Amino acid sequence: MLFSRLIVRRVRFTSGLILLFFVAGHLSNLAFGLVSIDAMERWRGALLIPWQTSFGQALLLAAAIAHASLGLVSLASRHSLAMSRTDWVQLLLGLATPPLLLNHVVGLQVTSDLVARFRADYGYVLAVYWHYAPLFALQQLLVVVIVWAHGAIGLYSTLVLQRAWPRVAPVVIPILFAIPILALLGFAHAGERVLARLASEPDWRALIEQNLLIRQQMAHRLGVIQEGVFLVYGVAVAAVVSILAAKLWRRRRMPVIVSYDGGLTAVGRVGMSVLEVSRANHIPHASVCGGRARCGTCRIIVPVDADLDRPAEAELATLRRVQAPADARLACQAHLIGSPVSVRRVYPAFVDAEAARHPDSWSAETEPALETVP
Amino acid sequence: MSLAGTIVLLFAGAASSPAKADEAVFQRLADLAAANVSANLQALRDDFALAPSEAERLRAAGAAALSDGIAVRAVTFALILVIIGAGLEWLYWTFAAAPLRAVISTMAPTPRQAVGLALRRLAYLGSGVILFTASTVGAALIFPWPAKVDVMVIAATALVVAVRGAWIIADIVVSPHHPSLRLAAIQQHNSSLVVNSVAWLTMWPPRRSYSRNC
Repeated sequence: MLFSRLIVRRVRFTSGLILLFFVAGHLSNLAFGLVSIDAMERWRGALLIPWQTSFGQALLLAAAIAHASLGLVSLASRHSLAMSRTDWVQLLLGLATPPLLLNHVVGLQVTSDLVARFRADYGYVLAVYWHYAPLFALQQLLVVVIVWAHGAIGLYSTLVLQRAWPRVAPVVIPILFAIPILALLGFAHAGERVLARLASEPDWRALIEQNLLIRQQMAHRLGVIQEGVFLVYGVAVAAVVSILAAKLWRRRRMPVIVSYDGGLTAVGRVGMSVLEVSRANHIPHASVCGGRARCGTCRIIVPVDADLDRPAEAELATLRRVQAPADARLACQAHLIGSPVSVRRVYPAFVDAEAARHPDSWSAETEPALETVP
Repeated sequence: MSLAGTIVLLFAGAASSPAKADEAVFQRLADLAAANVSANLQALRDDFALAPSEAERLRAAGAAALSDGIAVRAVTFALILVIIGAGLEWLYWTFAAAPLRAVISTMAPTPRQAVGLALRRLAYLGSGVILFTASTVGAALIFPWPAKVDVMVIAATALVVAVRGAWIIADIVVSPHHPSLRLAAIQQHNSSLVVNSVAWLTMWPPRRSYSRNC
């Protein structure tokens, strides 16, 4: 493998964090609409201008490409669609983001880069969204919620596994709620003012319309750029879906039986992880991190000669962290090869993030009985 | 031509009995059908010809309705409600999901214990819905909604609550999780189907009422 899963995981998280940091700044800037449009413009210098430098733009672009590509690669390398609800939500929100956001990026940032006299200030943007092209406003409002929900869920999923989480949660959670709410309120408040200003200040209106004219003159060129990006993204998503579908189709007739503690039995397919088999067969199985080899709560005890693939670096790191015995595997990383496998779940399905933060707090003696055969 | 008219015509033809009369009746029916098909095709062509101008009129009407800012403001407030309602419920589930999973994983050796566990599941799931409803409606009261939008917001919230309520009740009764938790005698493979069907059926009457009003 070119890059280890551990490195891929870090790159994905870091790129997501960069994007979330940018979005948080952008939305905070929007929240200044509660004060005035001038305040929005003043704070743009501190909150957004750094991202509009060459370095800032390159960093953002790299983070966006890395995050989207690794997300698609992760989808293509799945062996089943048995995912938690949170994972489904994350997947759909993530896939919806680029096409919904493209219009905003091309219409403002790319136009500003191409035409020096185009002024993409807040007055212009709000006038376009509230008066000239309100359908785009509805689209952008949706994107705000989608992007923020995707980022907040991703951040929470990582932070909740850290020992410091109980201390930082009272600060982080209110911020996660406050930023989008204040941003939307700022957008609504500033929008009302822009509508009033458009009605009462003809000079300002003429300035906005002059800017719009520049945008319209660029329409064809921007349309070509937008269609190009759409095409690349569409082809990438179609390729990923095709790879996944082909893999599922090819393996549909390669059943593998998994026997659990308590006499439960389930049927999986070659390539599926034990956790995916549990999910697909509604067998209660702990998994706080959702199958990302981070928490260690899905771990199972397996016979030494169990027909499973070898543990990778990310799994070994987590097993070391939770001080798991030598015969332990992470169910989310243990993939079926072909022969029947017998496993014993270590944690009951109802463990929470506390078990990941303090694995020593759950000893074998205190484990409650797991579900047995009906 | 109406179905009743056709039937009367057929009976009238059959009553006169001779083969010639039958032929005449069927010939007349065929002519009527051909005329109907032709008229319908013409109407369809006319409708298609009108479609671009109708679409343009609809787009212009929509744009006019949007450009005064009312729709944008309403959607902005509605999304804030979604963030508050769904966000608070998500926060609730970060604490309540583990206890709920514990209840779902528990075996119920007797029907009495199954009822007890069902009530606990109802409490967990119901609390989530109540929190969502209370926070959404509470926040909705703060905003200066455009005229008639507040009614739509309350109606949408009521629909969500009705669907989720029905879903929860179905989930409690025909638990798709474990046979021993089930209050009704139903096969495992049918239980998920029942739960999802109930949710869809709950959505049906409001949808029908909405399309009637439109």
